[in-house]
Order: sequence, then structure tokens, then C-alpha cells
Amino acid sequence: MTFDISVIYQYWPLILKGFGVTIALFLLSLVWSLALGFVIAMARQSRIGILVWVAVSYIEIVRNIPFMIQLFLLFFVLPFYGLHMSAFVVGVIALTIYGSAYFAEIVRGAILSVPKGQLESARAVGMSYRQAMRKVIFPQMWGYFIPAATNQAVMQVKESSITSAITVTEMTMAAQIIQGDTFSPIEVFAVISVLYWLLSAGISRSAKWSERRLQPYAQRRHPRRVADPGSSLPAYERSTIP
Amino acid sequence: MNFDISYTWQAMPRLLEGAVLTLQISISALFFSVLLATTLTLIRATGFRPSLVAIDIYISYIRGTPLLVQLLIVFYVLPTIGLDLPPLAAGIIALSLSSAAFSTEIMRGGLAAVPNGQFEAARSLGLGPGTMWLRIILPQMFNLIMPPLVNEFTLVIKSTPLVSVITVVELMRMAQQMYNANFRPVEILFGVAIIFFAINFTLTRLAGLIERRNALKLA
Repeated sequence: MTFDISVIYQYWPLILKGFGVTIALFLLSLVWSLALGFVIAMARQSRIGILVWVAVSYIEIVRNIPFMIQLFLLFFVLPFYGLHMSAFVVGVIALTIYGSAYFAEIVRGAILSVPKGQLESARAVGMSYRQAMRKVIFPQMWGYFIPAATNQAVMQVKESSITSAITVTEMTMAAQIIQGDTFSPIEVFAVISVLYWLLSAGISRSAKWSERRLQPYAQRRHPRRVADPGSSLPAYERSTIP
Repeated sequence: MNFDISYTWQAMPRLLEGAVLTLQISISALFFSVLLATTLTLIRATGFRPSLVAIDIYISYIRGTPLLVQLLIVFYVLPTIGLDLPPLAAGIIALSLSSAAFSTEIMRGGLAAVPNGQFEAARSLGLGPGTMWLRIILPQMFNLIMPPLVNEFTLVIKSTPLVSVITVVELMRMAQQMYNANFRPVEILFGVAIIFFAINFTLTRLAGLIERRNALKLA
């Protein structure tokens, strides 16, 4: 067993291209699944029976079926209805559907993590449901949302490797091509797993950074929590109340 | 070409055969995962620094890289160091190693939830470390981590289709073989989806049930 770095040197462009495709898959599906997840969470929280039912079934179906099955189903179903797309687009759509179900649950959890009194008092002071959500609930939910969403984002990077099974040439596919050419799996897989690892670590790192930026509310709230029934209000708001 | 559900029913008996292997793979992987995770948890409890660092790196590596890559590493790399494993064994090893990292994290949480007084009481009764862990601490920990462990089991089940990539004929590969013969991928994959949904939906409900029962016991 020898570690022959020249293989990596020789195939570096292919690995780099795969890395780029992995990042593209990840970023595109992240943006779309966040947006879709948000909409589904709102449907799930609404009081319209049919919307709730649709949202719950969507979430349960997507979360209980392996991603690989969803991917293959989509890969075969779309042409069935005359929609011929490249494997990459199918991969993005599958990752979006998959991620959105998880993000919907994360958004729901984040909304529920904000004390109920917040929404009630916002409504009581005359805000509409929308206003209360936008100005009171959303700013307070980041403490719960960001760690959970980061986990899901990392999951999505990892799931993107499965799209290699439908011939998307992302990083895992690149590695398999190189391994087929050179029969030196150790070097290739060592390098790509380090790249995946760095990508995951980078996502966690940037999430920690955004958590610090989005969290001023929660941080200012904590010191005041001691035996004060009104303490679930952000401190900066409370300071204006005599 | 229309969606014809009769192909799904036709495929069902053989798909269920594949599902049995899928379940066998998942159960063995979970078994080894819990075994390894318990060992790692005990090693962690000793507080020996180098082992703590090693376990942290292991967990971080597993959590940061795709299971598919880990699977391919076990499948391709082990033979080059002289360990020629059949695909099924490679699949189970990769799934166990991956799941063990997550189980260890679950156990970390479970262990933290066992009250400190239990350790102190065991020690003050003069129990040795073996008896203390086996008869006092671990049983309580396992009781606490049952719901997340069942969820971990569903995650393992959901990752088994990946072993089809290394030619294990479980549910997914079985389906692929069938639709390569009759060109009815949509109907057959629909059947696969139904089977996975039934298994996982039941298990997540079970986890919820255990959680509620535990909550009642504690109340």
C-alpha cells in the first residue's frame, strides 16, 4: 500500500470540477429548499385544514422515504411526463424536495421555540398575524433555527454525493471515475473526503458567525431572566416600559 | 406509457424479499453500531485525553463526509490492504462505523441525563466500576436514549439503499434489476417507496410512543 500523490496531481482538474458541481448542487438546493421549506412550514402552521393536511403528508412522505429512492423516482418520473432534464437539474430538484421537508420542520420548531406569550401579546397590542410573525417571532427564532438548519445544510452536502448514482459528475462521481482509471482508491478518496470535511466544517463555521450576528435579541434577553415573569420580552423593548 | 399499478403489485413479492435483506442489514448495522458506541462511550468516560481527541476526530470525520464516500472507502480501500470482503460485509461495516458516530453522540446526551447521584450512590455502596456501569448507569442510559436510538435506526434503514452501489442485492438493487428487465422503473420504485414508508413511519411512531411512555414514567 503506497500513497501515490501524483495521481491526485494528474487528475486534479477533474476533482476540482467535481467539487464545483458539488457546491453548485448544494447552494442551489439550499436556497430553493429554504424557500420551499418556509412556505410549507407556514402551510403547516395555518388554520386551513386542507393546507395543513397537504403539508403534513408532504413532510411525512419525504422524510420517511430514502433520498436515493426519491432521486431515482424523480429521474424516471420526469421523462415519463415528457420533461427531459439533465441529471444535474434532476439532482437539484430532488435535493430541494428532500431538504424542504426537513427545513419545514426546522422552521416550525423554531417558531414554536419562541414563547407563546410573544405572539399573544403582539396580537394583543394590535399587530396583525403577519406583523407579529415578522417583527416579533422571526427575530427571536434564530437561536433555535441556525444550529438545526446548519445540520440540515451539512446533510444536504452529504446527500448530494448520492446524485452520482444518476450520473451527475459531482465530486464522488469524479472520484469513482478516477478510481476506475487508476485503481488507486486510497489517494482519491482520502482527498475527496478531506474536501467534503472542509466543506462541512466551513458551513458550520459560517453558521456560528451568522448566529452571532443574528442573535443580539437572545443575548440581551438572558441576563434578565431571573424570576421575572416579563423576561421573555427582549430587554431592549422592556427598557422602554416603566 | 401510463402508470400501471399492476406492475407494482406484480413486483411486490420479490421487493419484499429484498426488504428482508434490507432489514437484516439495518439490524446488524445497528447492533454493531450500538456495541461500538457503547465501547466508545465507556472509553470517553475514562477521560483519557488522547482517546477523547481520537473519538472527537472520528465523530467529526463521519459527520462531515458523505456515507457514500465512506462506503466506497471501505469497499475499495480494504482490499488494497489485504482484507478482501464480500460487498455485503463491506456494506454492514460501513453502515456500522457511520452509525456508531451518531449513536455515540446520542449516548453522550443520554449519559449526561443520568443523575450524578447515581454514580455517587453506586460508589458509596462500594460497587466496582464494572458493576456500576453494567447494572446501574448503562441500563438507565439505554432507557433514556430509546427514542433517539429508534430514530437512528430509521436513519440506518434509509441509508441502506446506498449499499446497492457496491452491488449488494437489497431492496434497491432488486428493484433496479427488475426495472432493467421490464422497463417499468416508476411503478417498481413506487413499490419500493411504499415499503420504506411503511417501515419508517411505523418506527417513528414507535419512537414517539416510547418517548411518551418514558415521560409518563418520569412524571
